[in-house]
Amino acid sequence: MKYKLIASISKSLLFARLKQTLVAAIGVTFSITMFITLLSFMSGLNDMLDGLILNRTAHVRLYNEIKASDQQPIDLSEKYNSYHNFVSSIKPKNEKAEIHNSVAIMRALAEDSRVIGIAPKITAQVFYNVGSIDITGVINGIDVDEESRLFFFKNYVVGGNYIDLKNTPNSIILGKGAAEKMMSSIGDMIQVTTSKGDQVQLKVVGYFQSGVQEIDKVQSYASINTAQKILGQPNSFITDIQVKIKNILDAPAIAKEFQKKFNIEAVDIQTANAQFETGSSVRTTISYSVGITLLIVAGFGIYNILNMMIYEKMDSIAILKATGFSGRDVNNIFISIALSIGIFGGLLGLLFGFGLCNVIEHIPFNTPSLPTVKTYPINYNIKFYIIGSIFSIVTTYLAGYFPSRKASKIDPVIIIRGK
Amino acid sequence: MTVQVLNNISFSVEKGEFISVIGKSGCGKSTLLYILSTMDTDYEGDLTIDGVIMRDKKEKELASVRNEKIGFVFQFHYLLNEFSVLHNVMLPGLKLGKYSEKEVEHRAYEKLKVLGIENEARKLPNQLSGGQKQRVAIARALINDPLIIMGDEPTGNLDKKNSEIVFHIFKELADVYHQTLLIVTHDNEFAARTNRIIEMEDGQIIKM
Repeated sequence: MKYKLIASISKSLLFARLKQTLVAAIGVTFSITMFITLLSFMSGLNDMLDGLILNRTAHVRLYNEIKASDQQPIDLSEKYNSYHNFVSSIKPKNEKAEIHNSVAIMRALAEDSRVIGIAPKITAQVFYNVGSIDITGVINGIDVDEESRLFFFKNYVVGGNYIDLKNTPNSIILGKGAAEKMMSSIGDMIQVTTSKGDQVQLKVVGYFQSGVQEIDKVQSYASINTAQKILGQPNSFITDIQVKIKNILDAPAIAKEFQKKFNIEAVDIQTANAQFETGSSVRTTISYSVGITLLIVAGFGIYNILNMMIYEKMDSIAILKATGFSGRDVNNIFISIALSIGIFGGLLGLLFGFGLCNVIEHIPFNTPSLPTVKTYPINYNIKFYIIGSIFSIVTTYLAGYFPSRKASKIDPVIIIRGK
Repeated sequence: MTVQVLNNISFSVEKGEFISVIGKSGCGKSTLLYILSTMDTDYEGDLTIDGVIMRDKKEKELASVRNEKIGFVFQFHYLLNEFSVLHNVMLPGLKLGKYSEKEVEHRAYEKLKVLGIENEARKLPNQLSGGQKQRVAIARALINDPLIIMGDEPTGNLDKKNSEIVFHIFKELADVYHQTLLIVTHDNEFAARTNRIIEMEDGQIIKM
């Protein structure tokens, strides 16, 4: 009953100044619209840019680093334990970049419940032979199916069919840049020279475009068997194991654990790609601060309009108080005016924001470096809508708080006598 | 700096009395009225309404005393232009919450009928004449059946004819409904026709 009375008084005061009320609500609507659009767009862009590298990067990469042993024989000798031993010009042991016991490691990883999947990989340094010129390059030997499933390999194959890499023996998918340099098209045979000097003929079955030009000029892909053949290594030869885990945030801890468990080098995605994290968080911070600034400006608009309304309605407030409305009631009346502007404007803002995101999502966005992206990316995260509505209510409440308090303190005697 | 406006004032009003307070401008009669109405709390001494001492009551409690026990008629009507005449009369009743909205509406309509302006009930206040507006204000003062109606020069803004109408309404309220009335006025002719006159000068009561 009482709330109904206060609501009806608020409503009539609101409609008495309909134009101003609408202007205030439009301010909120505009700021919420921009807030939602900005964050959805920025976050979509972030996801896309991160995806450029992060999607294709193993969460944990296991490999065997060629380096000198940490402990030299003299360090193990008890006799010289307390001495400072200087050994100069230490060289690594003559060994291959192969992961020892890779089959057992992969079996253990496949059974780990935190792991989504694993993809073995061989990196082979080669020269692409173009006539009499050699171009340096890298051939990655991959498990085609797993690489596609875990790291979206097929999305980046722009010519030919990625599965041919598995089905055609001695086939290669060339980096787009490398293919242009070699002037080879799909179906051509190319020749590569391995670091050991062997020459191998490979059939081009597709092009690969990562979006990073420097990579595309150098990298090519072959199946893991082909790569083993190129290098003249047995079936168990693997140089990298790429692990994708369920929760990316666990990567550093898991990498450390694997390092100890398998006695192998392990690097996590956060360490390997720290700069992307930083870029994303800076962009997110900027979008939030712009959005919140817009909301605060809208809040000042509401503050002004309520202040004016209170000056205009001084008489009405005075008579309400004289006839038995308490300061609290008057306060509630103006707070509910502010909140209804905020809720109404905010809701419209959420709708318009959603609409604008939809429009942006359909704007064509073609760039040669991003073959899978056809339109601007948008992230429809419910989180933005929740934050947007909370902010619109909080700012309008604060904008209403001070004018309402002023209204509740109005002394009816002064107004009534002043006439 | 505080200035003492009223000095050594003591009187009581019985139920059913029709009292007028007169005096020259600045003699403190309005201040007296606002203290009696609980709106001005800056005084020494005691104010007792219906046997209850008003001192030390909180703002909210005073507001509900005004709502329930006091009806106001001011020099200016102070009607809310956003609401219809009927709704203006209903507002204090709705605030009191003693009756349902339907009953309050019925009662408001009855009050307007007593004052002879029931035909204007659906109009907005700014469509009414000055005299009619003042009668609406009186209806609003009556809605909660207050113990006392206080008026601050209720005829001050009205012409002779309308003043006469308002006076007759007060008179009728006092005689027929035994409504207690305390009216501050400049109009000696008005005062002369009330039951009791309190005359003030320089913050003191000189005759009552």
